[in-house]
Amino acid sequence: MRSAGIAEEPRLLLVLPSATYRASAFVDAARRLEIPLTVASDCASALQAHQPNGLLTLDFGDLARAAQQARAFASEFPVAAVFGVDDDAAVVAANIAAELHLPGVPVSAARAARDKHQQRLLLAAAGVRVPDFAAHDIGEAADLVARGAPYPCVIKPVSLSASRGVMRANSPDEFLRMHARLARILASPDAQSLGNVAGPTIERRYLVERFIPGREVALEGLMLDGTLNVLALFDKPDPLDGPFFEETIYVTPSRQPPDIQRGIAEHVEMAARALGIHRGPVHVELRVNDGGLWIIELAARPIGGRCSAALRFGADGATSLEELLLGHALGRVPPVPSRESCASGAMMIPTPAAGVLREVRGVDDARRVPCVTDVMITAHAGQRLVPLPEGSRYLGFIFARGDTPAVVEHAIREAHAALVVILDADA
Amino acid sequence: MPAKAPTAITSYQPLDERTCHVVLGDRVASSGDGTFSSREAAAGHPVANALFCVRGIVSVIIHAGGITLGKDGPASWDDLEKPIRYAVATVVARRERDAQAGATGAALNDTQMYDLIQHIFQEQINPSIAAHGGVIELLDVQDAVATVRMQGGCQGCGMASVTLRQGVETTLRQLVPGLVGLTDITNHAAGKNPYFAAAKK
Repeated sequence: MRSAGIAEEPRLLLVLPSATYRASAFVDAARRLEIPLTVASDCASALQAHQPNGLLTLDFGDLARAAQQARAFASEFPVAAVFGVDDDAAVVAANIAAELHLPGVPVSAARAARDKHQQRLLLAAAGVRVPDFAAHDIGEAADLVARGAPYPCVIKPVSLSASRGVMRANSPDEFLRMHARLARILASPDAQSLGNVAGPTIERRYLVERFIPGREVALEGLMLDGTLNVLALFDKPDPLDGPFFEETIYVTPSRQPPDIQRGIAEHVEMAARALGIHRGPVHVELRVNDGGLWIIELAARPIGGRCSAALRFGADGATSLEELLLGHALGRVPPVPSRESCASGAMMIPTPAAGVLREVRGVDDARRVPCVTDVMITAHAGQRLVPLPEGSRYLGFIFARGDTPAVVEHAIREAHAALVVILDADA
Repeated sequence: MPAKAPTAITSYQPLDERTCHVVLGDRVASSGDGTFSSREAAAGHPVANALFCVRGIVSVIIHAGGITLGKDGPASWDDLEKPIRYAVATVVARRERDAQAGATGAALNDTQMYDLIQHIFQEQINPSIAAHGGVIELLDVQDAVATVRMQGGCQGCGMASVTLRQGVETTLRQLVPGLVGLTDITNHAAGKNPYFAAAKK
């Protein structure tokens, strides 16, 4: 073992998967905050040998081993805080925080947020309203499950993110078709690779739950000592009624009435506490209808994809979501700044069909739409595109800012209409 | 442009599980002999000191025939080869840097900085990045800010910013005195074969 040589300033350990949209935003945030950063990922960086204090590889498939790897690293390079950027990374980070006795989300809470079934059980037990649900193994007789399902129902893998594998069925016949499709998705290599990050057998389980009609919203929040700080509440103006649930447009501030917005915040705070999440980011999806508010998902991580670029904080909009979160992880907890005053929105550009992407035309035209601030195409030419429910990648993102949510939504739709996706569609 | 730097290590030969023999290029080997059993003891010897930065190295013996390294811990000599080569190459780069600065008696100007960075890219960065099918091209240095373009597996890679900021920039800041910043002008959207493609998680 090498002896401690040069004194090292404690570092922030940023846990992220190699297949992430978020690396750049977090690395840039750490630079702006002048935080000594170590990026810990599931695959080795080509330059890890050059910068052993800045780059680390962890075994995401073996939580105990990952925690030991982090401990060995921390014995050489002191670690002040650990932060996980996505669902799996949040569980890895929670284990590391526990191993190193650093502040963090309890491992049980991170696991509960990761496992949709466990999450439903805890929320229901705490009196938080969630859809009626039942959990099943994909190997169970589908016809028996179909007979007992509440229609219309939603079938949803316990482990996957971003609406992947989530399907609505209106009848037993539809259920059986969707079930067969889900079985294929769960058998895919990336669904199988979750390992024990998400818990044993998680990749085989799915929920059958009652479909909840209504508008969907997403809350971005930061828990501080068990109290929710609402960072943003997004409306999702496109109806999400199935058969698949592709998320498209997010616009903030919400146009829901103030009393509904207060109720949403209260529900989310209660839900986070029920899971044991008293600190750190939460990203929560809810349905709003005449029957009240329903928690659809709660994740112990920030918003996904590149959507965080829609959020700026402080009077001058100079602070990014990632800066705010990393500062909090390091214990820098000034009053949480408000989001900038203008309306803002993002679109996860839908994948139009299965096939090989040739090009996306009209990007410059889309960028010229008033109020549009950026259009990013993140899929590359030659990449195979797969729409939901099987797909796991975005085509790209559109961002807009404006005086009102309606203006922002209109700008995003206009920009989207300017894009022409050229692909060699599957036969 | 500077003359191409000597290959830092000309022979790397594990002898057994705990011992490895390496032979250095001429310019590297001229640091004097010595036997070192800790980084502290090697403080005055650049090569030995750099080798103790490799995790697992517990002894360094520098002699006329090369360097004999001792290790402890689970890492194999195969695992350690890259870090060891890098450690020695870093010493070479520092000497190159010092030679550049010494030639003028002042901080590096943009041309000298360009040459040094180019050397570091050729000898250290790009050979490593090639493992992921990538390459980084130095385009210019203006007012001590280097402009680069990432290609191959780096272009459009989900981890490109990590490679650039945590790997390349940090390395350059250690080796290039006066470097103010690093600008990436890569069109990542045009990357056709990124090593890590981002996915929803």
